[in-house]
Amino acid sequence: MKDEPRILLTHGTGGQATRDLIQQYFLPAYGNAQLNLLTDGAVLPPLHGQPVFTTDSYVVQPLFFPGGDIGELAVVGTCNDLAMMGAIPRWLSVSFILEESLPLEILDRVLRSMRRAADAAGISVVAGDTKVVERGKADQLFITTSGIGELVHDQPLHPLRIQPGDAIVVSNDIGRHGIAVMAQREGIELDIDIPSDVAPLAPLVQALLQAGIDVHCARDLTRGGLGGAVLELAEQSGCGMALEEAFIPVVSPVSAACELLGFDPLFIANEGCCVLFMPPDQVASALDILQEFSAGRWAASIGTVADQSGRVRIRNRYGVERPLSWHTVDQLPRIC
Amino acid sequence: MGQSNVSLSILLSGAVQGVGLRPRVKRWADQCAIAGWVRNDGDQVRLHVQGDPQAMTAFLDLLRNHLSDIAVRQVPALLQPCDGFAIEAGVSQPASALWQLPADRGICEPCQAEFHDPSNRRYQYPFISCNDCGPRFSILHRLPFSRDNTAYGRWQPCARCQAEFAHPDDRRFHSELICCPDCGPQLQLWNGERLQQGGDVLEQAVACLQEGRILALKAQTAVQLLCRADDAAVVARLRQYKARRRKPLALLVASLEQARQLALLDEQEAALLQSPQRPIVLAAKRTAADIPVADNVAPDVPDWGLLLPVTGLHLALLQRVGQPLVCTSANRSGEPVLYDNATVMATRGLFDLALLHDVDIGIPQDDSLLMHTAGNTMTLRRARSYAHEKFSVPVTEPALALGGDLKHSFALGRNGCAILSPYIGDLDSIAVQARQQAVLEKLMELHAIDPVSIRCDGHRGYHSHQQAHQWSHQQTVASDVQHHLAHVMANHYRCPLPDRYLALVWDGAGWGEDGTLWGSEAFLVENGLARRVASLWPFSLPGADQAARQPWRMALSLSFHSGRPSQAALDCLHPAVSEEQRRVVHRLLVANINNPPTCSMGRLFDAVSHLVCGSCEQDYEGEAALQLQALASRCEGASPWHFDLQTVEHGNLLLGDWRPAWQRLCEAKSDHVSPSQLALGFHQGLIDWAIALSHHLGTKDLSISGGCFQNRVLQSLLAQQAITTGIRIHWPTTVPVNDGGLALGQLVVPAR
Repeated sequence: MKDEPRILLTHGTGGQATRDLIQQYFLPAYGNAQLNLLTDGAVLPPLHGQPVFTTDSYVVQPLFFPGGDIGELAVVGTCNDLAMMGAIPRWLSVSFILEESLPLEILDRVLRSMRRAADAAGISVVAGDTKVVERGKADQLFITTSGIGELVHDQPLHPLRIQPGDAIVVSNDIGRHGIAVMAQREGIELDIDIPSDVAPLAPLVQALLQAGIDVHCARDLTRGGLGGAVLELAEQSGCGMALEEAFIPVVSPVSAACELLGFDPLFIANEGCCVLFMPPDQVASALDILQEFSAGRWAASIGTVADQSGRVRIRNRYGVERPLSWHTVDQLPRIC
Repeated sequence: MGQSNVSLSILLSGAVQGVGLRPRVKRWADQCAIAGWVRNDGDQVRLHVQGDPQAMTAFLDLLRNHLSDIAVRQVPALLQPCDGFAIEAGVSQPASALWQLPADRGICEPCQAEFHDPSNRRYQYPFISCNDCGPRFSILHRLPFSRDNTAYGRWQPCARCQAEFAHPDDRRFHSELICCPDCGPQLQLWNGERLQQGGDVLEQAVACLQEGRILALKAQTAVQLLCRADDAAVVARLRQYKARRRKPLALLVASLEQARQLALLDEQEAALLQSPQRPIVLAAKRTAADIPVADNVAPDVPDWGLLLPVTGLHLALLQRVGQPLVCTSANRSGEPVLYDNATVMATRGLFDLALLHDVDIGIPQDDSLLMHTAGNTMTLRRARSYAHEKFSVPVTEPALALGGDLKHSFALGRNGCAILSPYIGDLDSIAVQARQQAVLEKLMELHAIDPVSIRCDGHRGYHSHQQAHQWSHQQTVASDVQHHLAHVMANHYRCPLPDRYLALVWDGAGWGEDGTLWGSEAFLVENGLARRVASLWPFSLPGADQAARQPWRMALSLSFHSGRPSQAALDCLHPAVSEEQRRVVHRLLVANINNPPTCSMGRLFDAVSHLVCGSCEQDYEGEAALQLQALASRCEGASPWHFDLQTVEHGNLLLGDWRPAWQRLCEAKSDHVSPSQLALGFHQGLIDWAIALSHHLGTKDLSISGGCFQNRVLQSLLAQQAITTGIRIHWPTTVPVNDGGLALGQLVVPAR
């Protein structure tokens, strides 16, 4: 039986093997006129609006999980960071660190997935790089993407625009991505499979802005989940936030899984969900717009910016209010 | 007065506040023809007296013979000759130590007699009190204890009350809170829309109870929720309102006779029930069929919590309703107890009608909860009638200890004294945190104390820990005290303990110095220094806090850690645990995900309770252990089966290895040994281990603390073993055995 083709150290030396890898895998996957030039840098046309620039690294294990994979995540995640500023994602650079012996079939699947995600997000990959490291120096493959987006509205979204009275809206149900990845990684078999929520958010934010919703700030709910994002924003805006647990959308398989695993869905990572701050009188129309998207089906208003305390509190179903703090994020056991 | 007269200055200290001391002193002075004056100086009472030597001797004898709890110090003094004996206005001086604050007291017998006497002018008066009873600490604004310094300052006594106040022979001579239906506080009724004052408010409240509805009652130190105890439907509704499914509720009963109809009371329990402190006392349920209490009042537990009337208002209600009432603190689970009218009137969905009054409670306190077993009284919740008390402890500089987060209570200390705050609740919710802050500020102000050092628990997830470290600044230093060490020290200065002894602390969980959760600790204490010497063989909490809520997780964890084959481990779980639950939690154990290590005794109880009683989900802390205890107490005689813990050396620690015993328990279960024998055998095994540790370390004295020791079976077995082995047991009494006592222990841990 023939060994399956794998990444070798020679794929990273810059010689013929590197050229073959690019020609046979990278360009067919997401090549375009700009990238195909294989120049040292991409020369981009001028933008009408202000450029927004961001970068992020992706090291998720396993590479493939229910509802997505590392490739899709690397495109969507960086686009979502741009989207949170109110920008339309335009261009992306992609940098790979590959571990010696990675099956090329896996690389191929990841690249195809990136292509699909880039097409869906309307973004072009215009620069790239690949390095190969010895076995054991990386875990299969790592991806770093950087993205440039364009602001098409007057004001960027910013934590300092959050003000008391603002409504807090979450764009979809929370907790799916973190549970999906953990269940896959740790071999946890749940009765109901939970797929990741990975999804591009720029279409949702742009739809709101185009409809004239005065979104003050938006943040995607990745590491640290909804709880972490709201705590960060409370700190950065100096505003106090009051959340209603009963209004926070969590689908029942996720809440059941969290109960079983002993985690709070509030602190579970998401990849297709964001929190939005806006004037309360615009919430109804905003929810109508969001719920048109499949990634906004469970959009809900979950609380208000209460004061200028910089603290976050959450009220449970019985009306008891608890403070939310970074210590809750750590989730140390404490029950006697 | 002649030249032969002697003059003395006398200082009375100790329990001098709010006990009618000055009127009594005047009565004795008049009786002995002694001239001079008496004055309340806050934490002491000062007398200047003169008279002939014979009279003076008689007077001093009276003082010494009648004031058992009070220290009498005298110094010769030169005084201007004076006539008669006066009670001078009190002055408040800054305390060098801490004030001895006056005690809230339940209604005394003479006042009860007056309450029931139709010819008495305070017949049926809800606010009847005297020098020996009534509110004190809970309504005190500042010292000394005089009417103007309390919530009663707003009522001017009528002429008849004034006359009683001024008459040396009257029961209420100088009774600061003297009042009557004509001049004192009034009842009010809140129906959710309107506040009605006076009129038929009591009758409406009684009708509310009789019709099976829920009454909020503003009692002496907080608001209580009352309802008929024989009506399962209203009890279920009360549970729904409070968000408490199964936690036992206390019963307010009219008399000791009524209490005896419900429970088997021994003499000490009866004495505790009737004591002026009027705590809730745990007492074994009678099993008669005609007990007028619904099953859902205290399901699956062996005891009732009983309470006798604390005030005239309780008497009035019980007399009219004619049966025991469920009596519980007015708050939803996780919130602090209600105490002020405004908050009661803003609260929805907790009660149907509220019987209030216009006395403002200043320091809200729940009912205290005590139990008596094996010749020892233990405090489980320390609040009303106890929280004013002062402890003698070795602290010098002004210090604050913030205890733990659960069953929170804080402590303040200075110059050899400390006070432990009333039970506040769990510091989870914003409202409880705010309550703690308010009570803390109030007590710091009353005692005029500004701490220079702050102690707290080492658990950085605790609110109290964060509070201490946020408070910390250049002048005030915060330091952590290990959880179980604080438990040990809470006992250390309360009992006459020898130089060398073994201290056991068995509880649910406390942050350990190695970053894991401890809970089965043994400390060797030598000359006041404690060293951890033993604990249980470690296991883990699959799902972290979820493991404390769901005992089946602990059963699975112990099976896993004892090396039982996976299938056997899964098979011993109760059928109510689903396939998915078994599979996923087993995976948490195997892959070590969200699975922190622990050696918690409380969790060992949970695991055994799941196996033996089928406890799957706890509604309240300790429920699974309580079920196991109840089962064990039904075992006739000793159990032939023992849960043998083997002591193995592991570095500097002795570990109680439960693994072989757990294996045998799983097998014994399939061999059909009776569940009550298994339950008792488990308790026996733990006590055997405690005794074995004592022998191993050559200690003859054993101090115990931690929530696990609230267990009657454990207490009785320990007391029996103490007799046969000659080991002396040092029980905690006045300081709560659970986390409610942590703060006092933190305060007295020597600084590192």
